[in-house]
Amino acid sequence: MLDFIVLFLTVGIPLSSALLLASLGESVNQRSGIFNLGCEGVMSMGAFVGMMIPYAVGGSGKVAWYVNLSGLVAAALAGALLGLLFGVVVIRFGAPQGIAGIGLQLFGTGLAGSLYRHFIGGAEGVAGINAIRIPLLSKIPILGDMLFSCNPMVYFSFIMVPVISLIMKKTPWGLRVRACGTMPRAADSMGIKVQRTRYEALAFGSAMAGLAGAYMSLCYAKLFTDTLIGGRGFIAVALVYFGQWSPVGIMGGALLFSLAQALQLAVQAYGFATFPYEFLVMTPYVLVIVVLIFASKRKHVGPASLGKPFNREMRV
Amino acid sequence: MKKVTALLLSLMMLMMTCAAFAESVAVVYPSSVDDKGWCQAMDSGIRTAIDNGLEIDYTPVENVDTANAANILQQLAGEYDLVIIHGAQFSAALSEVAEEYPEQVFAVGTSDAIFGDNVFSYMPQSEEPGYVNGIIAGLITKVNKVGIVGSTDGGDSARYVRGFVMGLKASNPDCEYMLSWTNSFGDTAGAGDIAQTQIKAGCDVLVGPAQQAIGAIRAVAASENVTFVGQTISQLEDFPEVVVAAADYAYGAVVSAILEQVAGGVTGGICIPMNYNNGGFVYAFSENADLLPADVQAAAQEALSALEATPDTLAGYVDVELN
Repeated sequence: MLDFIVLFLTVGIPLSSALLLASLGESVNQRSGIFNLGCEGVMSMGAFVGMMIPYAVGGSGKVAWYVNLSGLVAAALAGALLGLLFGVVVIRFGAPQGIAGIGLQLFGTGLAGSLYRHFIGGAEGVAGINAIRIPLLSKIPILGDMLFSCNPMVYFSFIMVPVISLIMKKTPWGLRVRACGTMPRAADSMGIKVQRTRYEALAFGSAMAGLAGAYMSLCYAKLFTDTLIGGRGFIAVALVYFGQWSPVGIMGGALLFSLAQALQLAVQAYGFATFPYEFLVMTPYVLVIVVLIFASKRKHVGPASLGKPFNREMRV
Repeated sequence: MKKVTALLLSLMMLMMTCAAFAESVAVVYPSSVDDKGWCQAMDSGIRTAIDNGLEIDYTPVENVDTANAANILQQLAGEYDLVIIHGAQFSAALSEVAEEYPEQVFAVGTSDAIFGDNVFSYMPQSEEPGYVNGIIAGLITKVNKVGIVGSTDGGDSARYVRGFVMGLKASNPDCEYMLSWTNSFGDTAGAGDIAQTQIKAGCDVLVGPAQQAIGAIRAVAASENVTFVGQTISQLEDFPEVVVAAADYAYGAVVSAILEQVAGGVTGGICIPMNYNNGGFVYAFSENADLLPADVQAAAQEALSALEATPDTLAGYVDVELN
């Protein structure tokens, strides 16, 4: 039984990183008042660009660490660019954010797939970034494998939880972002440039989504396919609601979903289930729906102006 | 001038004659033809057959999803002598369109169902390559624990997995296996998740059907002391450091058989089986003796020879109860 528990925890923690990065980014978007449903598309582009750089340099073979790092940076930049493009559509032109988000999702996923087929094709992969074993700590029984033998991006994603929390609560920029998402008119009257702040938040949040995609292609699966992201972008949006826009809450949601995913994998692997495997596969998604139902009944702490375009000339 | 005109006319007539004899075949694929799995096997099988003298005009239609399949088939109907739709998930769409276009000859695989007078079906008896792979996995595992990265428990994927378990138990009755399903044929990331779970659970040999297997092979390649027994030869070529052997489909034979039936006046209503006995499968071994010892290869070759000699020897696969 201990083997089983260790297995599902060891598998579950790395699974959570892509969700965590994307959800944290989405929470910054939403804190500024922008609802970005196109997270999936941004992640797809991040996954493609993140893999493209090392593949262009060294094919499927090993490349220097800075080449992989360049892939991550490029994925973040690609994500930020897509975020800014989304910003032009919803901030500059005031398009409905939900519909524009679906457009961004389709655009990002389609563009990434097309570019992949044009430049790479097939089912090529990269050596990518491997897990590292932290000296001494990785030798601790059970915990060593579980917590101290992970991919560097896994550590990065968890470090971003307090970092985002600090940025949003303690820095002038974070406070400006929150003000723009809560009362943009009041923020405007205080001299905060609402639209510019929203662009910045979108660029930052989408860069995080791009990184999440690059984690999938460069660190986790080590390849790109059209279906690589597999709905994680939508789950990331749901996790922001689950976590009530709190980085710690989002981390809890990402871990819960990933551990549920890992649990179904472990239950299948050990052959514990006496019912059809299809039910196990759907379990994590059902769990998200159930949790969201309960989350929606809690006190609403989200940004009051989420999804509402701001126009300083418009009468309230 | 007259000579030039006559020459041009002759050339045009020659081209038209050639075009008239070459039958046109369109194949609809659920993923790309270089997916290192399901679709690549069909595409390369047809191209090999063309290289070996099969005279057809071949058009691949890639990355068709189930929702768009009926629409794509409607567009292709009437434009080609034979339209093949390569995936059991498209069966419902094909049934609908085949009734709508009774003059068009279709083929669908993998399925052993009979769809109508204008539809051929082809069914790889994948328990055979699964069995040979099981023999190898049972003999090369050092920890008596192998992992099966399943796709969907249906079609030839289900046959492959059951055949694999038969082979595994035949060569190593003490060997345990872990089996997980993604419930998809193309969930590459999901296949990677399962492979990583099985590797972390201690499996040292993995197998997996369908185009999603590439995700599992990547996970194997990133691990130490884990090997993979492949289902397409391209996997063996692309991952020589971890893939010990691979079966493959020989789809060119199926296309030839269908075209022969059409030439003979039969336009459908039959299922064409694929097995080692009728040349529907091929098999290749790694040349790396460290990965595949000679005695293991000999045992696999013996099983292959028996399957080539006699068809339908693994009919008991239907009774295999999985974990």
